[in-house]
Amino acid sequence: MKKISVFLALLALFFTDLALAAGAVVTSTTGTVSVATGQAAPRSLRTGDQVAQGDTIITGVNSAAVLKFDDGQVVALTSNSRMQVTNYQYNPQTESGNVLLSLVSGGMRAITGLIGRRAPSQVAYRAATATIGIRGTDVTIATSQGDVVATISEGSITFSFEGQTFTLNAGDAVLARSGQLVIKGTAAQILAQAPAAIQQAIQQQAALIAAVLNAAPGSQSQGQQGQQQGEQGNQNGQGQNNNGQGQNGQGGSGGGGGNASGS
Amino acid sequence: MERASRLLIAAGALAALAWMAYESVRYGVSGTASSNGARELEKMSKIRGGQVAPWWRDDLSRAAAHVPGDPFVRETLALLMVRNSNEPADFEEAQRHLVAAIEERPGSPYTWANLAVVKYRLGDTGPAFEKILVNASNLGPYEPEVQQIVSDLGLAMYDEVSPATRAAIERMVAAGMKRNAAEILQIASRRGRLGAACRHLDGEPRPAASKSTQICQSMEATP
Repeated sequence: MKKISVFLALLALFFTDLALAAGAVVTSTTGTVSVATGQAAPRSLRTGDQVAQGDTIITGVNSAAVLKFDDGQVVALTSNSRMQVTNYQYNPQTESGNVLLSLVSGGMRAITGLIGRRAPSQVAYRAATATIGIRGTDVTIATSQGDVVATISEGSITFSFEGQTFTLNAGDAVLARSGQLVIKGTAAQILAQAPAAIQQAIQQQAALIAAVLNAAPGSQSQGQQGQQQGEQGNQNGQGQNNNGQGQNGQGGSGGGGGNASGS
Repeated sequence: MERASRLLIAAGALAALAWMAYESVRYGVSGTASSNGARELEKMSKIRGGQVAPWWRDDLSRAAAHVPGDPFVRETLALLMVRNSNEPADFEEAQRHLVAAIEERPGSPYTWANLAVVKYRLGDTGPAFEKILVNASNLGPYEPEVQQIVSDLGLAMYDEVSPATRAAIERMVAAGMKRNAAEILQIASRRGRLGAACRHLDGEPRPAASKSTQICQSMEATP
Protein backbone atom coordinates (compact mmCIF):
# COMPACT_ATOMS: atom_id res chain seq x y z
CA MET A 1 0.00 0.00 0.00
CA LYS A 2 2.85 2.30 0.89
CA LYS A 3 4.46 1.54 -2.47
CA ILE A 4 1.25 2.53 -4.23
CA SER A 5 1.14 5.82 -2.31
CA VAL A 6 4.71 6.65 -3.25
CA PHE A 7 3.94 5.84 -6.86
CA LEU A 8 0.86 8.06 -6.84
CA ALA A 9 2.77 10.87 -5.20
CA LEU A 10 5.36 10.63 -7.95
CA LEU A 11 2.60 10.87 -10.54
CA ALA A 12 1.25 14.01 -8.92
CA LEU A 13 4.74 15.44 -8.79
CA PHE A 14 5.09 14.97 -12.52
CA PHE A 15 2.05 17.12 -13.03
CA THR A 16 3.28 19.92 -10.83
CA ASP A 17 6.51 19.78 -12.79
CA LEU A 18 4.49 19.82 -15.99
CA ALA A 19 3.00 23.15 -15.01
CA LEU A 20 6.50 24.57 -15.28
CA ALA A 21 7.69 22.85 -18.45
CA ALA A 22 9.34 24.57 -21.45
CA GLY A 23 7.88 27.79 -22.77
CA ALA A 24 6.86 30.94 -21.00
CA VAL A 25 5.09 31.86 -17.81
CA VAL A 26 2.53 34.64 -17.74
CA THR A 27 3.85 37.15 -15.21
CA SER A 28 1.03 39.64 -15.45
CA THR A 29 -2.38 39.99 -17.04
CA THR A 30 -4.89 42.82 -17.23
CA GLY A 31 -8.43 42.54 -18.55
CA THR A 32 -9.34 39.63 -20.79
CA VAL A 33 -6.46 37.46 -21.90
CA SER A 34 -6.88 34.06 -23.48
CA VAL A 35 -4.81 31.41 -25.17
CA ALA A 36 -5.70 29.12 -28.06
CA THR A 37 -3.86 25.93 -28.87
CA GLY A 38 -4.22 24.83 -32.47
CA GLN A 39 -7.81 24.94 -33.60
CA ALA A 40 -9.24 24.58 -30.09
CA ALA A 41 -11.43 27.29 -28.61
CA PRO A 42 -9.49 29.91 -26.62
CA ARG A 43 -9.35 29.44 -22.87
CA SER A 44 -8.67 32.02 -20.17
CA LEU A 45 -5.04 32.78 -19.47
CA ARG A 46 -4.17 33.77 -15.91
CA THR A 47 -1.07 35.02 -14.14
CA GLY A 48 1.24 32.09 -13.51
CA ASP A 49 -0.09 29.99 -16.40
CA GLN A 50 2.29 28.42 -18.84
CA VAL A 51 2.40 29.10 -22.55
CA ALA A 52 4.08 26.71 -24.97
CA GLN A 53 5.02 26.44 -28.60
CA GLY A 54 1.93 26.47 -30.80
CA ASP A 55 -0.12 28.63 -28.45
CA THR A 56 -1.66 31.90 -29.61
CA ILE A 57 -2.11 34.56 -26.95
CA ILE A 58 -5.05 36.88 -27.45
CA THR A 59 -5.66 40.10 -25.54
CA GLY A 60 -9.05 41.82 -25.51
CA VAL A 61 -10.07 45.46 -25.25
CA ASN A 62 -8.20 47.34 -22.49
CA SER A 63 -6.19 44.22 -21.77
CA ALA A 64 -2.52 43.34 -21.63
CA ALA A 65 -0.24 40.43 -20.87
CA VAL A 66 3.44 40.06 -20.02
CA LEU A 67 5.19 36.73 -20.62
CA LYS A 68 8.58 35.61 -19.42
CA PHE A 69 10.20 32.81 -21.39
CA ASP A 70 12.53 30.20 -19.93
CA ASP A 71 15.58 31.96 -21.35
CA GLY A 72 14.58 35.24 -19.72
CA GLN A 73 13.06 36.82 -22.80
CA VAL A 74 10.17 39.11 -21.89
CA VAL A 75 7.27 39.86 -24.22
CA ALA A 76 4.55 42.40 -23.43
CA LEU A 77 1.34 42.43 -25.45
CA THR A 78 -1.00 45.40 -25.59
CA SER A 79 -4.77 45.31 -26.07
CA ASN A 80 -6.43 43.71 -29.09
CA SER A 81 -3.30 41.72 -29.90
CA ARG A 82 -2.77 38.20 -31.18
CA MET A 83 0.65 36.63 -30.96
CA GLN A 84 1.58 33.07 -31.74
CA VAL A 85 4.51 31.27 -30.20
CA THR A 86 5.34 29.74 -33.55
CA ASN A 87 8.55 28.16 -32.35
CA TYR A 88 10.18 28.08 -28.95
CA GLN A 89 12.92 25.61 -28.09
CA TYR A 90 15.27 26.15 -25.20
CA ASN A 91 17.90 23.93 -23.63
CA PRO A 92 18.88 25.38 -20.25
CA GLN A 93 21.97 23.18 -20.04
CA THR A 94 23.51 24.67 -23.16
CA GLU A 95 21.56 27.94 -22.90
CA SER A 96 20.68 27.58 -26.55
CA GLY A 97 17.54 27.31 -28.58
CA ASN A 98 15.47 29.20 -31.10
CA VAL A 99 12.55 31.58 -31.02
CA LEU A 100 9.98 32.61 -33.60
CA LEU A 101 7.11 34.77 -32.42
CA SER A 102 4.43 35.86 -34.87
CA LEU A 103 2.45 39.00 -34.15
CA VAL A 104 -0.80 38.62 -36.05
CA SER A 105 -2.29 41.91 -34.87
CA GLY A 106 -1.82 44.55 -32.18
CA GLY A 107 1.42 45.45 -30.46
CA MET A 108 4.24 43.74 -28.64
CA ARG A 109 7.46 44.68 -26.97
CA ALA A 110 10.17 42.06 -26.78
CA ILE A 111 13.29 42.15 -24.65
CA THR A 112 15.50 39.29 -25.69
CA GLY A 113 16.85 36.72 -23.26
CA LEU A 114 19.76 34.31 -23.21
CA ILE A 115 19.03 32.84 -26.64
CA GLY A 116 19.06 36.29 -28.19
CA ARG A 117 22.24 37.31 -26.40
CA ARG A 118 24.15 34.15 -27.24
CA ALA A 119 22.83 33.45 -30.73
CA PRO A 120 20.85 36.40 -32.10
CA SER A 121 20.33 34.65 -35.41
CA GLN A 122 18.16 32.11 -33.58
CA VAL A 123 15.59 34.74 -32.63
CA ALA A 124 13.08 36.18 -35.07
CA TYR A 125 9.77 37.96 -34.93
CA ARG A 126 7.14 38.11 -37.63
CA ALA A 127 4.52 40.79 -38.07
CA ALA A 128 2.23 40.60 -41.09
CA THR A 129 4.67 39.98 -43.97
CA ALA A 130 7.66 41.50 -42.16
CA THR A 131 10.37 39.40 -40.52
CA ILE A 132 12.54 40.91 -37.83
CA GLY A 133 15.87 39.44 -36.81
CA ILE A 134 17.52 40.70 -33.65
CA ARG A 135 20.93 41.54 -32.24
CA GLY A 136 20.59 41.92 -28.48
CA THR A 137 17.45 43.91 -28.61
CA ASP A 138 14.60 45.66 -26.89
CA VAL A 139 12.13 46.12 -29.73
CA THR A 140 8.50 47.17 -29.96
CA ILE A 141 6.46 45.91 -32.90
CA ALA A 142 2.91 46.72 -33.90
CA THR A 143 0.85 45.56 -36.82
CA SER A 144 -2.58 46.34 -38.16
CA GLN A 145 -4.13 45.33 -41.47
CA GLY A 146 -0.79 44.39 -42.98
CA ASP A 147 1.02 47.59 -41.91
CA VAL A 148 3.97 47.14 -39.57
CA VAL A 149 5.92 49.49 -37.31
CA ALA A 150 9.04 48.50 -35.37
CA THR A 151 10.86 50.78 -32.94
CA ILE A 152 14.19 49.84 -31.39
CA SER A 153 15.10 50.86 -27.84
CA GLU A 154 18.33 48.89 -27.57
CA GLY A 155 20.55 46.82 -29.85
CA SER A 156 19.71 46.49 -33.51
CA ILE A 157 17.47 44.52 -35.80
CA THR A 158 17.30 43.42 -39.39
CA PHE A 159 13.91 44.20 -40.84
CA SER A 160 12.81 42.27 -43.90
CA PHE A 161 9.70 43.26 -45.79
CA GLU A 162 8.57 42.31 -49.28
CA GLY A 163 12.05 41.34 -50.40
CA GLN A 164 13.87 44.31 -48.87
CA THR A 165 16.10 44.07 -45.79
CA PHE A 166 17.18 46.94 -43.56
CA THR A 167 19.40 47.18 -40.52
CA LEU A 168 18.04 49.43 -37.79
CA ASN A 169 19.78 50.54 -34.60
CA ALA A 170 18.67 51.83 -31.21
CA GLY A 171 16.55 54.95 -31.63
CA ASP A 172 15.49 53.97 -35.15
CA ALA A 173 12.03 53.02 -36.22
CA VAL A 174 10.47 51.77 -39.41
CA LEU A 175 7.04 51.82 -41.02
CA ALA A 176 6.24 49.23 -43.67
CA ARG A 177 3.06 49.26 -45.71
CA SER A 178 2.21 46.70 -48.30
CA GLY A 179 3.05 47.83 -51.82
CA GLN A 180 4.67 51.06 -50.61
CA LEU A 181 8.20 52.19 -49.86
CA VAL A 182 9.40 51.38 -46.37
CA ILE A 183 9.87 54.51 -44.24
CA LYS A 184 12.75 54.76 -41.79
CA GLY A 185 13.20 57.45 -39.13
CA THR A 186 13.15 58.13 -35.43
CA ALA A 187 10.44 56.61 -33.28
CA ALA A 188 8.64 59.96 -33.05
CA GLN A 189 8.79 60.51 -36.81
CA ILE A 190 7.51 57.06 -37.64
CA LEU A 191 4.77 57.06 -35.04
CA ALA A 192 3.45 60.34 -36.43
CA GLN A 193 2.91 58.62 -39.76
CA ALA A 194 1.65 55.29 -38.51
CA PRO A 195 -2.03 54.28 -38.67
CA ALA A 196 -3.99 55.11 -35.54
CA ALA A 197 -4.31 51.47 -34.44
CA ILE A 198 -0.53 51.05 -34.54
CA GLN A 199 0.05 54.31 -32.68
CA GLN A 200 -2.33 53.17 -30.00
CA ALA A 201 -0.65 49.78 -29.68
CA ILE A 202 2.78 51.35 -29.25
CA GLN A 203 1.57 53.99 -26.80
CA GLN A 204 -0.03 51.30 -24.66
CA GLN A 205 3.38 49.75 -24.11
CA ALA A 206 4.19 52.69 -21.82
CA ALA A 207 1.52 51.50 -19.40
CA LEU A 208 3.18 48.09 -19.22
CA ILE A 209 6.58 49.28 -18.09
CA ALA A 210 6.09 48.33 -14.44
CA ALA A 211 5.01 44.80 -15.41
CA VAL A 212 7.89 44.47 -17.87
CA LEU A 213 10.41 45.65 -15.28
CA ASN A 214 8.99 43.19 -12.82
CA ALA A 215 9.50 40.36 -15.32
CA ALA A 216 12.88 41.60 -16.56
CA PRO A 217 14.46 43.34 -13.57
CA GLY A 218 17.68 44.09 -15.44
CA SER A 219 16.00 46.20 -18.07
CA GLN A 220 15.46 49.36 -16.06
CA SER A 221 17.11 51.64 -18.56
CA GLN A 222 15.25 49.94 -21.32
CA GLY A 223 12.06 50.48 -19.44
CA GLN A 224 12.80 54.16 -19.10
CA GLN A 225 13.60 54.36 -22.79
CA GLY A 226 10.36 52.62 -23.53
CA GLN A 227 8.50 55.08 -21.35
CA GLN A 228 10.10 58.02 -23.12
CA GLN A 229 9.29 56.42 -26.39
CA GLY A 230 5.72 55.92 -25.29
CA GLU A 231 5.45 59.52 -24.17
CA GLN A 232 6.88 60.72 -27.47
CA GLY A 233 4.46 58.52 -29.26
CA ASN A 234 1.66 59.93 -27.18
CA GLN A 235 2.57 63.47 -28.14
CA ASN A 236 2.86 62.54 -31.75
CA GLY A 237 -0.32 60.62 -31.64
CA GLN A 238 -2.11 63.68 -30.33
CA GLY A 239 -0.52 65.77 -33.04
CA GLN A 240 -1.71 63.43 -35.67
CA ASN A 241 -5.20 63.46 -34.34
CA ASN A 242 -5.18 67.22 -34.65
CA ASN A 243 -3.78 67.61 -38.08
CA GLY A 244 -4.41 64.26 -39.67
CA GLN A 245 -0.86 63.96 -40.90
CA GLY A 246 0.58 60.55 -41.33
CA GLN A 247 -2.51 58.71 -42.37
CA ASN A 248 -1.62 59.26 -45.97
CA GLY A 249 1.93 60.29 -45.27
CA GLN A 250 4.67 58.60 -47.19
CA GLY A 251 8.29 59.35 -47.60
CA GLY A 252 8.63 61.44 -44.49
CA SER A 253 5.66 63.73 -44.47
CA GLY A 254 4.82 65.18 -41.08
CA GLY A 255 7.44 63.41 -39.00
CA GLY A 256 10.33 64.07 -41.35
CA GLY A 257 11.28 60.44 -41.74
CA GLY A 258 13.21 59.45 -44.82
CA ASN A 259 12.73 56.51 -47.11
CA ALA A 260 14.96 53.66 -46.17
CA SER A 261 17.05 51.95 -48.73
CA GLY A 262 17.17 48.22 -49.00
CA SER A 263 20.34 46.35 -48.49
CA MET B 1 -17.95 -42.65 -13.88
CA GLU B 2 -15.54 -41.87 -11.10
CA ARG B 3 -12.74 -41.51 -13.62
CA ALA B 4 -14.86 -39.19 -15.75
CA SER B 5 -15.57 -37.03 -12.72
CA ARG B 6 -11.89 -36.84 -11.92
CA LEU B 7 -11.13 -35.88 -15.49
CA LEU B 8 -13.81 -33.24 -15.39
CA ILE B 9 -12.42 -31.77 -12.18
CA ALA B 10 -8.89 -31.87 -13.54
CA ALA B 11 -10.00 -30.16 -16.73
CA GLY B 12 -11.78 -27.51 -14.68
CA ALA B 13 -8.70 -27.01 -12.51
CA LEU B 14 -6.52 -26.75 -15.60
CA ALA B 15 -8.85 -24.23 -17.14
CA ALA B 16 -8.84 -22.20 -13.92
CA LEU B 17 -5.04 -22.36 -13.80
CA ALA B 18 -4.79 -21.32 -17.42
CA TRP B 19 -7.18 -18.43 -16.78
CA MET B 20 -5.19 -17.35 -13.72
CA ALA B 21 -1.94 -17.58 -15.69
CA TYR B 22 -3.46 -15.48 -18.45
CA GLU B 23 -4.69 -12.89 -15.97
CA SER B 24 -1.31 -12.83 -14.24
CA VAL B 25 0.44 -12.22 -17.53
CA ARG B 26 -2.10 -9.54 -18.42
CA TYR B 27 -1.66 -7.72 -15.11
CA GLY B 28 2.08 -8.34 -15.19
CA VAL B 29 2.40 -6.74 -18.60
CA SER B 30 0.27 -3.80 -17.52
CA GLY B 31 2.18 -3.44 -14.25
CA THR B 32 5.52 -3.53 -16.05
CA ALA B 33 4.31 -0.98 -18.57
CA SER B 34 3.08 1.39 -15.87
CA SER B 35 6.26 0.98 -13.82
CA ASN B 36 8.44 1.57 -16.88
CA GLY B 37 6.29 4.52 -17.88
CA ALA B 38 6.51 6.03 -14.40
CA ARG B 39 10.28 5.53 -14.35
CA GLU B 40 10.63 7.18 -17.73
CA LEU B 41 8.43 10.04 -16.61
CA GLU B 42 10.48 10.50 -13.48
CA LYS B 43 13.69 10.50 -15.48
CA MET B 44 12.40 12.99 -18.02
CA SER B 45 10.74 15.24 -15.47
CA LYS B 46 14.20 16.14 -14.20
CA ILE B 47 14.86 17.82 -17.53
CA ARG B 48 12.88 21.01 -17.88
CA GLY B 49 10.68 20.63 -20.89
CA GLY B 50 11.99 17.10 -21.46
CA GLN B 51 9.99 14.86 -23.72
CA VAL B 52 9.09 11.29 -22.93
CA ALA B 53 10.05 8.59 -25.39
CA PRO B 54 6.96 7.71 -27.48
CA TRP B 55 7.26 3.94 -27.10
CA TRP B 56 6.13 4.22 -23.48
CA ARG B 57 2.90 5.67 -24.72
CA ASP B 58 2.42 2.71 -27.02
CA ASP B 59 3.20 0.22 -24.23
CA LEU B 60 0.81 1.90 -21.85
CA SER B 61 -1.92 2.23 -24.48
CA ARG B 62 -1.68 -1.52 -25.08
CA ALA B 63 -1.69 -2.18 -21.35
CA ALA B 64 -4.73 0.07 -20.87
CA ALA B 65 -6.52 -1.81 -23.63
CA HIS B 66 -5.63 -5.21 -22.10
CA VAL B 67 -6.45 -4.25 -18.52
CA PRO B 68 -8.98 -1.42 -18.74
CA GLY B 69 -9.65 -1.60 -15.02
CA ASP B 70 -6.08 -0.79 -13.93
CA PRO B 71 -6.09 2.80 -12.62
CA PHE B 72 -2.28 3.03 -12.45
CA VAL B 73 -1.90 2.32 -16.14
CA ARG B 74 -4.56 4.85 -17.05
CA GLU B 75 -3.12 7.53 -14.79
CA THR B 76 0.43 7.01 -16.03
CA LEU B 77 -0.81 7.08 -19.62
CA ALA B 78 -2.73 10.30 -18.95
CA LEU B 79 0.38 11.94 -17.50
CA LEU B 80 2.49 10.78 -20.38
CA MET B 81 0.07 12.14 -22.96
CA VAL B 82 -0.02 15.52 -21.33
CA ARG B 83 3.71 15.58 -20.80
CA ASN B 84 4.41 14.83 -24.44
CA SER B 85 1.92 17.14 -26.01
CA ASN B 86 0.32 20.54 -26.08
CA GLU B 87 -2.55 19.26 -28.21
CA PRO B 88 -6.06 19.65 -26.79
CA ALA B 89 -7.00 16.23 -28.26
CA ASP B 90 -4.36 14.58 -26.07
CA PHE B 91 -5.63 16.46 -23.03
CA GLU B 92 -9.15 15.24 -23.81
CA GLU B 93 -7.92 11.67 -23.98
CA ALA B 94 -5.91 12.13 -20.78
CA GLN B 95 -9.07 13.39 -19.12
CA ARG B 96 -10.95 10.25 -20.19
CA HIS B 97 -8.23 8.04 -18.70
CA LEU B 98 -8.22 9.98 -15.44
CA VAL B 99 -12.00 9.81 -15.16
CA ALA B 100 -11.79 6.04 -15.74
CA ALA B 101 -9.04 5.81 -13.09
CA ILE B 102 -11.24 7.71 -10.63
CA GLU B 103 -14.11 5.34 -11.32
CA GLU B 104 -11.81 2.48 -10.35
CA ARG B 105 -10.23 4.23 -7.37
CA PRO B 106 -12.32 7.20 -6.24
CA GLY B 107 -10.40 7.66 -3.01
CA SER B 108 -7.11 8.80 -4.53
CA PRO B 109 -6.52 12.53 -3.98
CA TYR B 110 -3.68 12.43 -6.51
CA THR B 111 -5.96 11.33 -9.32
CA TRP B 112 -8.50 14.03 -8.47
CA ALA B 113 -5.69 16.60 -8.37
CA ASN B 114 -4.34 15.43 -11.72
CA LEU B 115 -7.81 15.59 -13.23
CA ALA B 116 -8.08 19.17 -12.00
CA VAL B 117 -4.81 20.00 -13.78
CA VAL B 118 -6.05 18.52 -17.06
CA LYS B 119 -9.42 20.24 -16.82
CA TYR B 120 -7.69 23.55 -16.12
CA ARG B 121 -5.47 23.13 -19.17
CA LEU B 122 -8.57 22.40 -21.25
CA GLY B 123 -10.15 25.62 -19.99
CA ASP B 124 -12.96 23.61 -18.41
CA THR B 125 -13.08 25.50 -15.12
CA GLY B 126 -16.80 25.42 -14.31
CA PRO B 127 -18.53 23.95 -11.26
CA ALA B 128 -17.28 20.43 -12.07
CA PHE B 129 -13.70 21.69 -11.89
CA GLU B 130 -14.37 23.28 -8.50
CA LYS B 131 -15.86 20.04 -7.22
CA ILE B 132 -12.79 18.14 -8.37
CA LEU B 133 -10.53 20.62 -6.62
CA VAL B 134 -12.54 20.31 -3.41
CA ASN B 135 -12.53 16.49 -3.65
CA ALA B 136 -8.75 16.49 -3.99
CA SER B 137 -8.35 18.75 -0.97
CA ASN B 138 -10.82 16.74 1.13
CA LEU B 139 -9.18 13.42 0.26
CA GLY B 140 -5.57 14.54 0.61
CA PRO B 141 -5.37 17.44 3.04
CA TYR B 142 -1.93 16.37 4.25
CA GLU B 143 -0.44 15.23 0.93
CA PRO B 144 2.19 17.80 -0.09
CA GLU B 145 1.75 17.22 -3.84
CA VAL B 146 -2.00 17.63 -3.58
CA GLN B 147 -1.51 20.74 -1.47
CA GLN B 148 0.72 22.17 -4.20
CA ILE B 149 -1.67 21.40 -7.06
CA VAL B 150 -4.75 22.71 -5.23
CA SER B 151 -2.83 25.81 -4.14
CA ASP B 152 -1.56 26.42 -7.67
CA LEU B 153 -4.89 26.02 -9.48
CA GLY B 154 -6.84 27.47 -6.59
CA LEU B 155 -4.79 30.67 -6.45
CA ALA B 156 -5.10 30.97 -10.25
CA MET B 157 -8.89 30.76 -9.95
CA TYR B 158 -9.23 32.46 -6.58
CA ASP B 159 -11.45 35.34 -7.68
CA GLU B 160 -13.65 33.14 -9.85
CA VAL B 161 -14.61 30.29 -7.51
CA SER B 162 -17.46 29.93 -5.00
CA PRO B 163 -16.89 30.79 -1.32
CA ALA B 164 -16.92 27.08 -0.42
CA THR B 165 -14.18 26.31 -2.96
CA ARG B 166 -12.21 29.34 -1.81
CA ALA B 167 -12.37 28.05 1.76
CA ALA B 168 -11.00 24.68 0.60
CA ILE B 169 -8.19 26.47 -1.28
CA GLU B 170 -7.37 28.52 1.82
CA ARG B 171 -7.17 25.35 3.91
CA MET B 172 -4.77 23.75 1.45
CA VAL B 173 -2.59 26.87 1.21
CA ALA B 174 -2.48 27.03 5.02
CA ALA B 175 -1.63 23.33 5.26
CA GLY B 176 0.99 23.69 2.54
CA MET B 177 2.57 26.64 4.30
CA LYS B 178 2.97 24.51 7.40
CA ARG B 179 4.41 21.59 5.47
CA ASN B 180 6.55 23.27 2.84
CA ALA B 181 6.36 27.03 2.95
CA ALA B 182 9.07 27.63 0.32
CA GLU B 183 7.22 25.62 -2.30
CA ILE B 184 3.86 27.26 -1.60
CA LEU B 185 5.44 30.73 -1.58
CA GLN B 186 6.97 30.02 -4.97
CA ILE B 187 3.58 28.95 -6.34
CA ALA B 188 1.83 31.96 -4.80
CA SER B 189 4.48 34.29 -6.20
CA ARG B 190 4.07 32.84 -9.69
CA ARG B 191 0.32 33.30 -9.40
CA GLY B 192 0.81 36.90 -8.24
CA ARG B 193 -0.84 36.08 -4.89
CA LEU B 194 1.99 36.07 -2.40
CA GLY B 195 -0.30 37.68 0.16
CA ALA B 196 -2.62 34.67 0.16
CA ALA B 197 0.28 32.48 1.27
CA CYS B 198 2.06 34.96 3.52
CA ARG B 199 -0.93 35.49 5.75
CA HIS B 200 -0.56 31.88 6.85
CA LEU B 201 2.94 32.55 8.17
CA ASP B 202 1.38 34.48 11.05
CA GLY B 203 1.70 32.80 14.40
CA GLU B 204 4.12 30.22 13.08
CA PRO B 205 7.10 29.61 15.33
CA ARG B 206 9.59 30.54 12.64
CA PRO B 207 12.90 32.27 13.10
CA ALA B 208 12.64 35.90 12.07
CA ALA B 209 15.43 35.45 9.56
CA SER B 210 13.88 32.48 7.76
CA LYS B 211 13.70 32.76 3.99
CA SER B 212 9.89 32.52 4.01
CA THR B 213 9.64 35.36 6.49
CA GLN B 214 12.02 37.45 4.42
CA ILE B 215 9.99 36.85 1.25
CA CYS B 216 6.78 37.88 3.00
CA GLN B 217 8.41 40.89 4.61
CA SER B 218 9.76 42.04 1.25
CA MET B 219 6.25 41.73 -0.16
CA GLU B 220 4.87 43.93 2.62
CA ALA B 221 7.60 46.46 1.91
CA THR B 222 6.64 46.60 -1.76
CA PRO B 223 4.28 49.52 -2.35
